[in-house]
Amino acid sequence: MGLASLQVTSLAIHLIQKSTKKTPTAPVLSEALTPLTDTSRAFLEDRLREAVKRARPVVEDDDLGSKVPGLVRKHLTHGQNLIDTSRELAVLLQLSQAGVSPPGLLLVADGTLDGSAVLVIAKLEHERGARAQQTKNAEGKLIYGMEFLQDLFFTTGSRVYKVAIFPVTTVAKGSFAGSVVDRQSPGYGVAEYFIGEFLGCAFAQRSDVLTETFHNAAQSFIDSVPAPATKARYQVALLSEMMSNKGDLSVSRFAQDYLDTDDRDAFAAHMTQKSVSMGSVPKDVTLVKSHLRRVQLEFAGDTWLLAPPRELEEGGSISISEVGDGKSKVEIVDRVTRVSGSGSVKPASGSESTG
Amino acid sequence: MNLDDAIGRYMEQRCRYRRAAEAVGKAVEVVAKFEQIACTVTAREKEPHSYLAKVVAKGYTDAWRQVTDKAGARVIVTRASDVDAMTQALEQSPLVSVLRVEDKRQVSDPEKLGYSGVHIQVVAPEEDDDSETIECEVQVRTAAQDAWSVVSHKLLYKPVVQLPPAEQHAVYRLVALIELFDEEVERLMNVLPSLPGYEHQDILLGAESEFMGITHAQSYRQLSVIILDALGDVIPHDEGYPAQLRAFVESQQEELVDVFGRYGPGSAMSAVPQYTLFGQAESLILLERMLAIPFKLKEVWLEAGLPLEWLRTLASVSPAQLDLD
Repeated sequence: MGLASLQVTSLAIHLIQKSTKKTPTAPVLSEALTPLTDTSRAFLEDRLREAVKRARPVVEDDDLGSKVPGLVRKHLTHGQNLIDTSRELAVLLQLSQAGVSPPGLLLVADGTLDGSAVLVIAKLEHERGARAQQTKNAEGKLIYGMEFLQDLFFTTGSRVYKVAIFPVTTVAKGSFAGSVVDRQSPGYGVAEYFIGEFLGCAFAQRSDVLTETFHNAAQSFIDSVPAPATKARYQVALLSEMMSNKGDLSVSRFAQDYLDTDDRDAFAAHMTQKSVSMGSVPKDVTLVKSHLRRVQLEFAGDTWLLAPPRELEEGGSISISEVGDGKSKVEIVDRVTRVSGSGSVKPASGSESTG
Repeated sequence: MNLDDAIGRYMEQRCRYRRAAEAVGKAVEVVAKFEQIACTVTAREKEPHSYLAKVVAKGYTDAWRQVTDKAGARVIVTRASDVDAMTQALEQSPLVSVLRVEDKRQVSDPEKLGYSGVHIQVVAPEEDDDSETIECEVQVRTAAQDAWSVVSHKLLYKPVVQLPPAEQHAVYRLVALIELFDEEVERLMNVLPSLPGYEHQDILLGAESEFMGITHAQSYRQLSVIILDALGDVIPHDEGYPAQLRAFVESQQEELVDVFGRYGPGSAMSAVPQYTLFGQAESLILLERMLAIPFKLKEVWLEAGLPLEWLRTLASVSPAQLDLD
């Protein structure tokens, strides 16, 4: 994606209502395209570009039987007009939407991405806000009046949107593919009714593979860190991130939360080089489980130390500090419970050892 | 050699002296560039009528040998100290062979007005058909010295009428003014590096030039200095950065013209506060930096307390991931 790659040329907006499967409700459909001023077009493009940066690749899943891929294909390759396409999409979204799903607006836009035609499909929820306007009260005194607004949408910083984008370059090739983001859904998933039932798509890359790619790339960066204490700290951070309850992994968040300021950009560049998405990826540690049990420290004198990550965290029994000349002091304050290998040492019960 | 023979010979060899002047001029440019002395260099062969006038005016007995500026180059430098720097550089350079140096600034006669820089006699690069060594006179001056040289010829050396005392006094005042001009330029150039924002000068001038090419508009320089000051070491201050920025702009030329056409000066968005950076030359630097070091840029921007929305809006046209939500 290059500079300002996404541009919107025309837009249709429809209202998706709250409904249940038992008592279906029809969407409120526009009869014509929404006029775009330069400022509203710029705002919309700005918001959509932010969304697209976070999107994950999807491909058509034939088993889902959605009509959307066919409709999008027809629109992009046969030039069906936008208002007709968008009205059909609104009806399909209304039918796909589960009863618990909130009402919202369906935005369907024709545009270009890197110079090629795209169709953007976005579901946005209404947001609330307030506006202060200078006025005079009944006594003629200057005040700021406050107006409550509940018909806002796509506000700056908003997370209540789902956006899908389908480029003609992939759709025309026969394989229906695009990308989707749902900021509301935890762990960088996408609400099932939107990605599956409505769009008829599935993620192009498996979460466990993405997680393994992230882990291995981050590990190779950590391996390249020269300072042993820093390296150990990053190692613990990676294990901690992998084993946390968070449903996703993010290069940006990992760098921000764990890495020294001077290492962040190098880390991001390394991850990009290793083909890790800069947006978040869903976490599934199935393929990296074996790497998450122990931190391994190797020393020049052929000493090895295996430790659970929690023991290297703050408050744990192991601490590492630099002593200069490229050397580190590793201190373990704990009870020795067993020694194996050649020789025999039998620790006294309850004795404390510092090594 | 008498005047007629000398002029005849010069007319025959005039092209050779033109080539000699140009070759010396080029060598001087190379030396100046190597020594990083800002200057403009011009080169010429002597006009025949000027040749004639000089021989007559000076009363030369050998009209060929005594005219040593048949080929000449003029070097105009920014500050008075650069005259010495350039002279020294030429004396030490292996690219030119210096025969003699005449410092015209030296006050040999308090009654005589002069302020003409330094003349350096050098040997021009040899050509196969040369029958003798060809010399070239290199004049090194400040712009003020050059201006005085032009004016003084008309006022002092070639007057048809004798100047009355009051007008002669005016000439002294002019010389003093020229000397003061160079001194003040020197003083200001020395002070400049200690002024706030000076370290951004080269980078900002480069960005402004690129911005002008893309938007055909100027940006608000005071805001640029505030932003560049705040960004600190996010912007490399090495000599190579302007070239790096130029390469970035060249690689994204089409997209940048499109983006700034839609959001920059003169667009519908130019009055929207969030789009302020699209009207600023340093936006090009920011776009380049957010691709190279997004985390550092974000951190420094937040620390500086600059409007986040400005950066967020600019970042929206970049593929860089700044995560500013």
